[in-house]
Amino acid sequence: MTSVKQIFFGREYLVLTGDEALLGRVLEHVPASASVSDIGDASGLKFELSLRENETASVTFVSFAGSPAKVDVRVSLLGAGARCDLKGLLVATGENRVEYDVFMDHCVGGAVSNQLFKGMAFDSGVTRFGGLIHVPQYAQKTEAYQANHNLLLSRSARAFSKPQLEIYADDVKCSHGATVGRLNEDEIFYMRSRGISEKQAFSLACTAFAAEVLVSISDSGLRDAVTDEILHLNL
Amino acid sequence: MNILSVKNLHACVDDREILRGINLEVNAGEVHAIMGPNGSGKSTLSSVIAGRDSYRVTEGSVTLYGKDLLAMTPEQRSWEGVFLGFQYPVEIPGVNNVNFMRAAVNEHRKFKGLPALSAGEFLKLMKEKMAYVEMDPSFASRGVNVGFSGGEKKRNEIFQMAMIEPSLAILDETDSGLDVDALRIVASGVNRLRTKENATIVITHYQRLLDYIVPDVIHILYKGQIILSDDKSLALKIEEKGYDWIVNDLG
Ligand SMILES: Nc1ncnc2c1ncn2[C@@H]1O[C@H](COP(=O)(O)OP(=O)(O)OP(=O)(O)O)[C@@H](O)[C@H]1O
Ligand SMILES: [Mg+2]
Repeated sequence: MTSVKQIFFGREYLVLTGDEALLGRVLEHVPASASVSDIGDASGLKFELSLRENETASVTFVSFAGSPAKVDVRVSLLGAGARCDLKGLLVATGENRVEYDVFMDHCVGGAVSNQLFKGMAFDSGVTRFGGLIHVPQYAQKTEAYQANHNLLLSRSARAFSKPQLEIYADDVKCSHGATVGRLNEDEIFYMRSRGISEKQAFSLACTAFAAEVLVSISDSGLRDAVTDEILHLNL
Repeated sequence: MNILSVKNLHACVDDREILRGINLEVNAGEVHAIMGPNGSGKSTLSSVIAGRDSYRVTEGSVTLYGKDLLAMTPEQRSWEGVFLGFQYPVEIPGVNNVNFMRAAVNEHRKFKGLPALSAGEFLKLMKEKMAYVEMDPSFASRGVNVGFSGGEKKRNEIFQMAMIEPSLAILDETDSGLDVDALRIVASGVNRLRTKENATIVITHYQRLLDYIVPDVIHILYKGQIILSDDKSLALKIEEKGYDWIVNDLG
């Protein structure tokens, strides 16, 4: 029995998927001012968002292993001045896959989108990110950015990344980038040389990696609760 | 009392032997300086003592208070009292100095059977120790070494040393990159941390540092071996004449 939670506060969305017990622990920290709703179940999640002229939205996705393993995100920017910031953290553990497909549709010119998705694959976990940015010919003055960085935390972990740009307009600012790497041995040795145990050094490095995404959860209690779950993952 | 004992230490990277039979005895209360040309193996020796696993020890032993260091993990060596001030301190984006040092200090306390410090106690200690090296408090909340200038990184090393209070500090070119004022400040920080019970090894290329941190003995490391050990006057001779004369004298 899994459900997908959407927490909405101010202009900010936080979408959580994964193991129910874990989500339960995080939800205890949701501030009173926020609203929580179920927006999907084990069969999957389709998250759709349309922004009109000058509307802005900031959405942070955090997906821990467990069903639904696949998330489809579709954002339509329908008016000039619209701005969408998407951040996502994919955490795959055990034998699980966590997959995201993001479609960013710049239906008009003069809108801005910014995506940062980070994957962490433990054990034999797999993360997959597919991101398509679509900018038709008439959508001039578009700004669209996308980055996908992945951290492999065991020998058998894997990450797949497929960023795609379909850009037909010529007066645009667009960029995309993808990386896959492992924990930096120099950093780990530096921490251990100060007496930080190997396990804790890994935890600190993992939290640091995730922080760039989690920093956009503005409520600190909620952010700490999500961070805690990552700290307690076993390497 | 003997703190560090290195006997006939040989170490390799891949198949290349970099340390070729090092012998070194360091006692409580002493300051040793290690000098030697670039590439002679000074940083390798300090890395092997601190437990970096990219080096393979093929022969010899290293003990701290008689305990076999080579059998320990890097963190265990730190708990037992080894501290390495890195020649090139590592930047750790996303981990701030406070969280980093709190983790380190509390692990040391756990090892000694002491309770973890509260947030308040910790910040007080941190403030006090930052003053040892006149470090600006704003550095506390920044990522570990991230965006620090060369000199600021070196100060941060000595700040960390002050937090941990090791019994054996190995300072690898802590003077490089420091301006004259910073050199004096960092050196006085190191001197302030010296006691009759601990020991310091400073690795340096320059006599200048040794005016401030006065060594009991200077060792010359050359091609992976200590080829000469003498008193502090040796540094002056090296400043004047380089290393050739030693190598030539030894034939
Ligand atoms: N990880 C490594 N891989 C390959 N070679 C290495 C490695 N570490 C050290 N070496 C080599 O071992 C030799 C000794 O290096 P080391 O850094 O110990 O010298 P050093 O005496 O500290 O020099 P410097 O005064 O320039 O700091 C050098 O030739 C160096 O290239
Ligand atoms: Mg060196």
